This record gives sequence, structure tokens and C-alpha cells, in this order.
Amino acid sequence: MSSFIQYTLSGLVTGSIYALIALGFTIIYKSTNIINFAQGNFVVLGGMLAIYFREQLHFDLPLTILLSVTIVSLISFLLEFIAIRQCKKRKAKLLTLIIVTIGAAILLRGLAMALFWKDPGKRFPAFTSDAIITIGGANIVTQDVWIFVVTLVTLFLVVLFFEFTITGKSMKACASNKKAAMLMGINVEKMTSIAFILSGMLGAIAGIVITPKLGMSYDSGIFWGIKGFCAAVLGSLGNLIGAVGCGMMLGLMEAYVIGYGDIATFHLFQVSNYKELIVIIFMLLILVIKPEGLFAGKTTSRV
Amino acid sequence: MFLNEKLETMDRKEIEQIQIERLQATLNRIIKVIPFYKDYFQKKNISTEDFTNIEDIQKLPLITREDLVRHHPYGMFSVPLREIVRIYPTSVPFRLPVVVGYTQSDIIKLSKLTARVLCSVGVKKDDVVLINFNGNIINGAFVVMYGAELLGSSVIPCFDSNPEEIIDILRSYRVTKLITTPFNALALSDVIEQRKISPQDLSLESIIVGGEILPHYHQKRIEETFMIKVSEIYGMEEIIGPGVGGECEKKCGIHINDDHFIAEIIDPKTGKSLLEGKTGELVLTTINREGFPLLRYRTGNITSLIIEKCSCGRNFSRIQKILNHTDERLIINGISFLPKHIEKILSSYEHTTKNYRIIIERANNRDRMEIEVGVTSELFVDQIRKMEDTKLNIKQDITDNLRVNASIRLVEPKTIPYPWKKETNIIDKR
Amino acid sequence: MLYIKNLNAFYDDIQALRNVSLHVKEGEIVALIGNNGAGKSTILNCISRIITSVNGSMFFRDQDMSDLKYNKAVDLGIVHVPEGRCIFPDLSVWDNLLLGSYSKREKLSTCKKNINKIFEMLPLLRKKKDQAGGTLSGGEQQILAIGRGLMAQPEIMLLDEPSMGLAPIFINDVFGILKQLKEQGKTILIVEQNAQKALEIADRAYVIETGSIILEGDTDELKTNQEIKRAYLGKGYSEIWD
Ligand SMILES: Nc1ncnc2c1ncn2[C@@H]1O[C@H](COP(=O)(O)OP(=O)(O)OP(=O)(O)O)[C@@H](O)[C@H]1O
Ligand SMILES: [Mg+2]
Ligand SMILES: [Zn+2]
Repeated sequence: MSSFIQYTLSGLVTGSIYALIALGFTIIYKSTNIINFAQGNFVVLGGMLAIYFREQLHFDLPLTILLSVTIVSLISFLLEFIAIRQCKKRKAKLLTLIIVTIGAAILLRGLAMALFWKDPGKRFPAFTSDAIITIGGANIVTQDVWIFVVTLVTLFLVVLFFEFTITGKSMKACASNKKAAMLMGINVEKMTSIAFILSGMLGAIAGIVITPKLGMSYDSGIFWGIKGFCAAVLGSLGNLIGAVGCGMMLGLMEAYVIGYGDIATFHLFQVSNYKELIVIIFMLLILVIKPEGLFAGKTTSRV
Repeated sequence: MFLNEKLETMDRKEIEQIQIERLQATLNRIIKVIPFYKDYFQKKNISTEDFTNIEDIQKLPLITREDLVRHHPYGMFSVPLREIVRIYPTSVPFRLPVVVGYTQSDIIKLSKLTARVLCSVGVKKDDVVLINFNGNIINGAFVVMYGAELLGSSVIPCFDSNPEEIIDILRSYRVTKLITTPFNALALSDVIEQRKISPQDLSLESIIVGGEILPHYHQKRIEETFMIKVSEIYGMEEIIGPGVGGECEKKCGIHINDDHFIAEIIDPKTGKSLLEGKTGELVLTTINREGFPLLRYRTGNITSLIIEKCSCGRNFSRIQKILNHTDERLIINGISFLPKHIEKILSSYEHTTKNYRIIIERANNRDRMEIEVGVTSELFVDQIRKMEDTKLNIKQDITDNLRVNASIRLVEPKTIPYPWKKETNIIDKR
Repeated sequence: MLYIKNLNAFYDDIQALRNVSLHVKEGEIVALIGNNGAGKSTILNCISRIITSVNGSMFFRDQDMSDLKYNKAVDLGIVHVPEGRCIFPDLSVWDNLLLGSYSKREKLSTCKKNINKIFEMLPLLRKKKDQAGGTLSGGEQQILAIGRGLMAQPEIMLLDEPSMGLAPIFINDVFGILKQLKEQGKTILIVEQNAQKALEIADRAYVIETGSIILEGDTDELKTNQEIKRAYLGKGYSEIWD
């Protein structure tokens, strides 16, 4: 039982990170229909910047967080403002825009390596202490609590933003029907910028909270990106709750595969080593059965 | 007075907007259906898209009555005949007929337009309006009647009644507005004078004339006998009759309904457009007609155009009182005709030579015309009887065809100068 | 109020409008009728500035609109209720209305008051206020779209086929609303397939055919017009022609 709780808790922690990243994908997709493949690199940048400020420059934690988040959102903003907007002006196809984000991902990866370091193991100390907390027989570190709390607060704020502020609602409106949003006088370009800034923030936050636990390497962008992307797709791309739910689900699934996979397969295969593969296969299976994702069909749009 | 003040006092910007809109719409419509324009556009290699402002109208050809005759009867109609609800052949003595067609909506439009014009010359809802037109402008009479009825006036239509009858009607029905032609108004003046009727016995407030040129001296005569003002309304058979424009109460020219017509002044000799204020021939374009749109129609009327705000509040352009016609027509007691028509009549007689002289005088406020006809000497040596017959026949012929009275004098050809130019063979002493 | 001269609009290489000139005066209801594909929606899209590959002169109350961005057009009071309603399907009726007043940047309390005013005018919406827009019926969506447009307190309202695809009862509802707006003195430019209905409510109308205006006039003059029947019925020229 305690091991189940253990797996569940660690699943939720990883899931939180996936959820944050998936949310980043979702927000951009919703307002622009673009899959931003640089989303994983925002996580990496957030983490590495935090290490740099904390370890190299010895800034205190709040300042570190503030600076890292700001810089990553700025980069995200510039990506949209410089690259994507210009391409759109020249009537580029959607596919071209997605390729632009892939290009941006490669560029950011190279930049991270060139400006910072290659050492994959670098990290900065946990937010508070390294103390271990025991819950129902399961042990977690305090940073896990931080990850979980920060994620929940962030998710809560994001939902609040979308549900209760006029800007959030108008962003939803842009996603829901761009032409109508334009006709309401909503500045769609501005909303797109806000979406990118928000995604950058979410990515940076994910990177900052996870780094003390796992460290951050310049090339792990793809890893985070794929995880978040999977969660977003499973959550029916464009659905905020779906993204969060599927992020969590993915985290839990991984944790259970690691925990119970070997036992379930009588240790015939080293299943836990292939957790990524298994999760992806699982995801593909779901998509084959329900191509629109798990959270689709809540509303139908009529013409 | 205004029928629709907002519409009639709109500013030039608005007027020009409406003009270009309606001109473009008219062109877009006719280009598909009137072969004349289709061919013209093809030949000149222009398209309707070349018309982006009012001045572009000069890219269109000028249309004369002869052009209309050439496409007689239905060649210039822009809707199929079954959409036409009124067909009106206009005929002028010695000229081939032209036929005008109106659709249902044309009728509605021209009624509204005429109501507007009548309103501007002071016709009101509580007026008793006598409409007296006759002969070849009966269509104008209908148009005026529709307009007056739309205004809500009590209309008494009197077509082809004689002046005596009209005077009786004016008296007994307490008519307040008389709408008629200059000729009829002059004839009524005669009756008033002959019967020594005091104008005070009539309830008439004003006389509105249209359909023919009204020279100052005629206007003065009518105003003096009736002791009321005469106002003019303007239009022509080929366009919509008297709805083209009218005088306002300020009497500073005739306002053209710019939202339905585009007025231009051209040099009648070269066909070139003239600047605002210059005197030349008035060219009208209908921009709101369905059945029979006329573009750049040469009216033959000599006048000048003023485009500035009138003290009555209208921004519609104004033309000066029309006193002349390009074909140098003569006007005798309100009836106009061309000297060459007289020539034509004369040439049908034996023994006449080709020269003649017209002498016009005013006596007792009336125009008198005498025609000196050159005849060959054979006629002189013949019996007096035959000479008298010829004289009577010519006189009758002229009255029948041109509706004017003339006294005829047969003369030896060498007593009148040759060759006949207007200056020498028409002597106007008025 | 709105003056358009020689408007040409392009979709890539296709020219959708040719020298379109039209105007709408304050307090006037003007109808735009024409065949499918004639360019009616394109005209409205040009006025609300969502199509910008245009040339020609457009003036709204002495303001040159040629460099105006779409959101600034809404700020000026040009409110476009587009073809096919375009409501926000996953937002509630309430949110749809709220976003209608986006351009006004008012306090939430003012917005609430205005939404209540709309509810009074269109009581049907009050009943459905928490329902997602996408779950409304077509007619209800149309009424929502009009309500949402009114939330922007339009100076001029551009309505694109408000009766399209609606059952007769809803068509009457929609035109009932339009009559109310007319009585309030609103300025409206309306595109309609239902020419008969449109002519009943409008003061003037333009008939457009393959990107060009071919007729303009007061509605009482146009009612008898064959061109309108043709434009409306969508018959070929020759069919009614001869
Ligand atoms: N986005 C677009 N891309 C290319 N062509 C377009 C586009 N939108 C419209 N068109 C073309 O422009 C022309 C005018 O279209 P528009 O939608 O304005 O017509 P409409 O009069 O509103 O027709 P309907 O009554 O069907 O709504 C059509 O020929 C159409 O095919
Ligand atoms: Mg359309
Ligand atoms: Zn005047």
C-alpha cells in the first residue's frame, strides 16, 4: 500500500510538470493553431537560467525566479513577434509556421549550450530544505511538495485568468472564433503575443521547479517537449482541463509502469527501462481508439 | 418649400456620392443590354471600371435626338419590353418620333420627383391645382398630375380644353395653382383681357409653366394680366417631363435634381465640356432611370450652370432661365418652331421660290408673324384668285403643322435678300 | 455617415469587388441584395476592415478608413455581425455578450447593466445565459449574435444574412428585433437573401451582381424591380430577360 502511495505521489509530481508544459502547448495552439515545438526548450532555458542566477551570480531565490521567468517569456514573445508574425504576414502555411518553431527549438538548444554549459548534472539547491517528508509510509522530498504546490497554484491562476478576466476570455474568444473575435474589436495579434508570453512563463516555471530535483541539461528540451505534447494531444489539444488532466495521467502512468511494470511482466522484460516507449504506445492506442482525444466533444460548434 | 428637406438640402459631397453611385450602377446595367453602349465600349476599349468620378462621364458619347431616332423604337431600352408599363412616343412636327418607356419603378420615381419639383415652386397639399396641357406634351401632363396627387393637392386635369373653359374652371373651382404651358398661359391672358375679367375674381396664387421656353416679355405679360408670379419647371419629353428641375421661391435659376440627373454644359459646336458659369448647351444624364436611361443627352437648350449653395438651402446645381435653343428656334406666343419647317412647307408649293422672310413684331402684347414668300412671276400674271388660294393654303398649312398663326405676303423674289441666313431672313422686332 | 467610393477588393488574384460605391446615412437602414457570391459579405468585411487587400476610398464620419485596423474600426462604432453568426461556441451566452462590449472597455458593473438591457430586449437569451453558445439552436445563435453586436453600442451595424437558415418563426423574430432597432434610430447596413423582408424594413437598397452595384434606390421604388427578383432568385440574366 505504501508503495502505491509512493508511486502515486511521485507520479503526481512528474505529472504536474507535464501538465505545466502541456498547458503551454495548449495555450499557443488555442490562439494560433500552431504546435510550438520550442515549448520544451522554454523549460530547459528556465531551468538553466535559474541555475546560472542562483549558482553563478548568487541571486536569491525570488529574484532568480523573477528573472528567469521574465527572460523566457521575453524569448517566447520574440519568437512569435519576429519569426511567426512575419511569416504569417507573408501568408505562410500553418506547416511552415510549425517548422519555424522546430527551427527555434534547435536554435535555443544551441544557444543554451553555447552560452551556458554542457554538463547535464548541474542543478541548484531545493527551494527550502532537502528534508524528507513521510506521508502514509511514502517518502517524498520537500522539493516535491514545492513542485506540486507551485504547479497547482499556477494552474489555478491560469484557469482563473481564462475564466474570469476579460483578457483571458478574449483569448478564449480568439481561439474559439478568430473572425468573430476580430469583429469584437479584440486585437488578435496582441492576444497571440500574450499567449506566447504565458506559455513562456509556464515553461520557465516548470523548468525552475524541476531543476533542483532532476537537474537540467541543454538537450533535454525534446524530452520535456514530447511529454507535454503527448499530454496536450491526449487532452484533445486546446482543452485546458484536458491538458492538465492528461499531464497528470501521463505522470501517474509512468510512475506505475516503473513501479509495477516489472512485477506485472514477471521480470521477463526490463519494462521500467522502457517506460517512455510504453507510455507512447499507450498514448497511440488511445488516439487510435479516440482520435479526437479524451476531452473532446464537450461542446459542439454549429455553423 | 421642401418635400423632403434632408434630401433636398444635402451637401455637395453627398450629392456627388449619389451621382457617382448611380452613374456606375446605370452603366453596369446598360452595358450588358444596350447594344449601342456595348459596341461603343468595345470600340473605345473602355470598361465600366473606368468611371470612378463624375468627370469620367465625358468618356461617354453625346446623344442627340437623331441617335434616338436611329434606334427607334426600342433600341435604347434597358429592360425587356414586358417590364415597361408606359410607352410614350414623343413627336415634334417634321421630326421623326422617339419613344420613351417607363417601368413601374420609373413611374414611382418620377412621380416623387415631380412632386418635389412642384413643392419647390410652391404647390402645397391644400392647393386646388389645375393642370392644363395639351397636344404633344400630354405625357408631361400625366407626370405633373401624378406628382401633384402624390403631394396631396386636389388636382383638376384639363387636357385639350379651350381657354374660355379653363377660365371658367379657374373661377368656379377656386383653383389656386395653374400648371400649364407658356402658350396656354398666353392664351388665357388673352381671354382675361378680352373678357375684362379682374384677376381678383380668381383665387389663383401662382402660375407654373413648363414645356417650352418662356421669354421674359411673355412672362411679364402673363404676370401682369394675372397679377401673380409665374414660376418655371423644367424638363423634356425624352427625359421625364417636367421633373428635371424647378425654380425655388428665391427665383435664382432652376434647380436641377442632382440626385437623379447629372447636368453638364458643353460648347454646342465642339461638344467640349465648358466650365461652370459658361454659357453653352445643357447636356443631361439620367442616373436613376430603369426603362430608358439617357446618358449625356443634348437638350439643345442654351444656358449656364451654377454650382453653389442657394439661399433657399438647396445645394443642387442651378441653370439660368433658358432663353435660347441650339437649333435657333423661333417662339411665337409660346409656340416654338424652326424656320426650316416653314421652308419645308413653302417648298411643297408650286410657284414658290426658295427665298422667304419672316418678320416678327409685338403689338398689344401679342406676337405677330408675317411671312414674305417669294413666288415666281407666273403666279403674279395668273389670276388673283389663285394667289389668294395659295396664301390661304400656306397659312392653313403652317397653322396645322406648327400651331402658329402667320400672315402671308407673296412677294417678288428679288425684293427679299438672298442667301438666307438667319440674320437676313428673320427679322425679330421684339 | 459611411461613404465608400470605388472600392475594389481582391482575394489573391481574384477581384471580388469592382468599383463599388455606396453610402449609408445616419439613422438609415440600407439593404444590400444580390446573388450568392456577388460580393455582399466581402463589402461588409471591407467595412469592418477584416479584409485589407482593398483599394478605394472609405470614410466613416470624415475619418479616412484606409489605414484603419479592424479593432480600431470597432472602436469607432462599426460593428459587424458576420455571416453564419460566428458566436463563440465554447463560451457561455453570458460571456459571448460580455465580449461583445470588449471594445468599450467598461467596468464589469456597467457591462452587467448592459447585458441586462439586452436580456430585456431579447428575453430568450436570459433563459440560456449559462449555456455554451455552441449548444444553442441556429435561431438562438443568431439572436445571440445580434445581442452581442448590440453590446458594442454600434454607431453602425453591419448585419450579414441574419435570417439565413432559420425557420420562418425565427425569421420573424429576427426581423422583429430589426424593427425595434429601426425604431430606436439605429444605422444599419444589412445583407439579406430574403430580399422581400429586407426591402420591407430598409429605407434604401443596393443590388449587387458579380462584384458591381447595378441598382440603387428607395425600397418602395425597388420592390417592383425585376433585377431584384433576378438577383434574389439567382436566375440567369437570360431567363428573366427574354
Ligand atoms: N476567402 C476567400 N478566398 C477566395 N475567394 C473568396 C473568399 N471569400 C469570398 N471569395 C469569393 O469572392 C466572391 C464574393 O464572395 P462573398 O462571400 O462576398 O459573396 P456573397 O455575396 O456574400 O455570397 P453569399 O450570398 O453566398 O454569402 C465569391 O466569388 C467568392 O468565391
Ligand atoms: Mg455572404
Ligand atoms: Zn434655390
